[in-house]
Amino acid sequence: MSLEFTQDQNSIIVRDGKFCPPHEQKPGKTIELKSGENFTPADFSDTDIAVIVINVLAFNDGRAFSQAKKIRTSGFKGILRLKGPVIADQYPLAIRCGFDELEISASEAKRQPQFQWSDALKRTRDNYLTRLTEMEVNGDQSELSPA
Amino acid sequence: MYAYNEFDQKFVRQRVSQFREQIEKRLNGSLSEEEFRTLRLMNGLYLQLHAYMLRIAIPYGSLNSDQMRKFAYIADRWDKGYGHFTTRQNIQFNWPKLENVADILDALADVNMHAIQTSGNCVRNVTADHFSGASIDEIEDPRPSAELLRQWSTDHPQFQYLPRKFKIAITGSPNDRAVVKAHDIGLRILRNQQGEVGYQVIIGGGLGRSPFVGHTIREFLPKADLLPYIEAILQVYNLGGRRDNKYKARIKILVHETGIEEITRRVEENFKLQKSEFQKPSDKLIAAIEKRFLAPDFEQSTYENFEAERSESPQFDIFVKRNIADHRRENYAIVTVSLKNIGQTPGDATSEQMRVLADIAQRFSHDELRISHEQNIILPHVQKRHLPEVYKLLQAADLASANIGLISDIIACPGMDYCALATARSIPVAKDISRRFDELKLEHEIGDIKLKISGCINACGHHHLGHIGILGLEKGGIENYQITLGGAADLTMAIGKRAGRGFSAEELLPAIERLIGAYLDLRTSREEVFLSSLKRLGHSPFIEALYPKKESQNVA
Repeated sequence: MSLEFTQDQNSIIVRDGKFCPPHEQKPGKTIELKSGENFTPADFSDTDIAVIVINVLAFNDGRAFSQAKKIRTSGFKGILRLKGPVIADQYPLAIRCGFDELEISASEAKRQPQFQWSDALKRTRDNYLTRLTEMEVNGDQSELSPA
Repeated sequence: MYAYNEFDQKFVRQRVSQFREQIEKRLNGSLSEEEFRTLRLMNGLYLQLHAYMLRIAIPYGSLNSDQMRKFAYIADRWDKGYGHFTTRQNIQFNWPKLENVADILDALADVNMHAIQTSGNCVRNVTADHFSGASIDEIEDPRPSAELLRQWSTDHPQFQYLPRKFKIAITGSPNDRAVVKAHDIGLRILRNQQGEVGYQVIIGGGLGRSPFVGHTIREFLPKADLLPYIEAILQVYNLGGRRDNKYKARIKILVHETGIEEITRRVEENFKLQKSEFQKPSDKLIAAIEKRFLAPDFEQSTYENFEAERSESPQFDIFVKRNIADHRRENYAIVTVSLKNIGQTPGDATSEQMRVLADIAQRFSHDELRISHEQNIILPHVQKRHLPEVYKLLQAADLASANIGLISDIIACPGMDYCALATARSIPVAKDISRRFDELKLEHEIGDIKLKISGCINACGHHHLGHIGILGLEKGGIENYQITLGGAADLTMAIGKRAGRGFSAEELLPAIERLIGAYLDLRTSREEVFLSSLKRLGHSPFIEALYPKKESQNVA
């Protein structure tokens, strides 16, 4: 169920296009990385790691997107969270790079209401890269469009 | 020509509606001014000195007549009746109103066009040789590779918020017409010793305030590895590029500060991972893209009328000598249409001229047009027997200047007439120079020369690469123009050297005249072009011409 934003919360988790309260402590470790912080795949080989949080300080710092991709490439299966001043238009990019969820401040959540995140999430589908690298090509690539 | 499939259509429409929403979000406060700025730039919308400017991508510089007509329509309906073709094979409209921008983007989507990633810190419009698919020296048409890169880079989830903009250029010919060594990534299609086609990969070139000639990071990359390799370069750059200073954020600085050896090591290591992880596009998809670029159905024809016209009309003959390049088919020609009339803004075309060019392309050039990085328009496939008629049509539209490669074929940035970053005017300088040498009737006597003008240190006018480069700066509120000598934009790319102190706006034209005068005096014959004289004699005699003794005594 989605929540309405309430004044007494400091931050909100955005998951599946919905606003959720911050997570209860989960079993397993939570690791925090700075934006751009170096790591090797071995750093995450500990099976006890449940959550990796990447902290960004500015919305236009795009390093976290590549960090997430690299972490997923290294085989990490736990929860990946992007924390910081993210804008709703970036949400689909975050998902496509392998993030599960975002943690945004209460003020971010206030100026960008929940519907903006659920709308943005729809744009996760239908992108060129997925089409280029994963989809089997069907007829449409070889047919000329009517226009 | 690449034509959109259903997926492309849907994607571009969605992007327009997303941009409409972003404008609304800015108006209702969901987005801050800084956030909106970043998003509008990714959609090609700049805020300039006097108004918004919309930059529209012309992927790899190729377009058809419908697309050109749509530019004319946009120019008339939402702008001031003209457009400006740029050094990165884009077109810019200088006077759109914010409330009309989404409608303009919808009109573009009607003809398979867009303004996506023409600005912002992301992978920009991929540029290519403007003679691709037509030139006689081509190993392979670079446009299918460029289209593959367009699809890969469009809305790439990792690379929308890079440290800085990222420009890729590709050429399919040994004669580089795409300035590949001056790009973040330059690609040169070549064959290895086994005869297989692949790419030479060059990184870290660039102009701007710190010009660098690109380094070869891979001598030969098999074609199938293109996307994983480029992905590896971009990932290394995204994670390692500087974000503390926007003037040091391009990949050229990362390469310069880290060293090409270390960058090569990082890229190759990353590439190994990408190769196992990155699922390559299927052969079927690649083949489908290539199919879109098949050569048109060339006709057989004879052209006695063309030869006859050449001997009858000296004017036509000069046009043929300057503006026509060899086509791979003997009975065809590549026509370069100059957008550099004497006294005109380099790269500007009126809506009427766009319509004429569209009509000519449709009737005589297999419906194809190209935009060159030198801000001219190419008719890539014209039969020689049609050239006399094409020439007359161009003449009637004031598009027949026979000055390709001459001193009036100037590259110039918009400068202080439009640009918010400019420190000096560049368009008026270009106009003055072309007018002056036209008055002197010296243009054809001088012959091949590349003169390029930038109105600020960001070097959008490629002044570093001009045989003569002019850089407009500002000193104490007064425009000051520095001259560089000896730059070159081809595969022997070189960055021009500063000749000495700058000139005021009034001193500049006489200085250029002295420089050209010295060349005319010193050359061994008409066959020795300006750059060759400069190489043979060194810069000193030309510097002496720029700064004559008498003048320095007066100053002292």
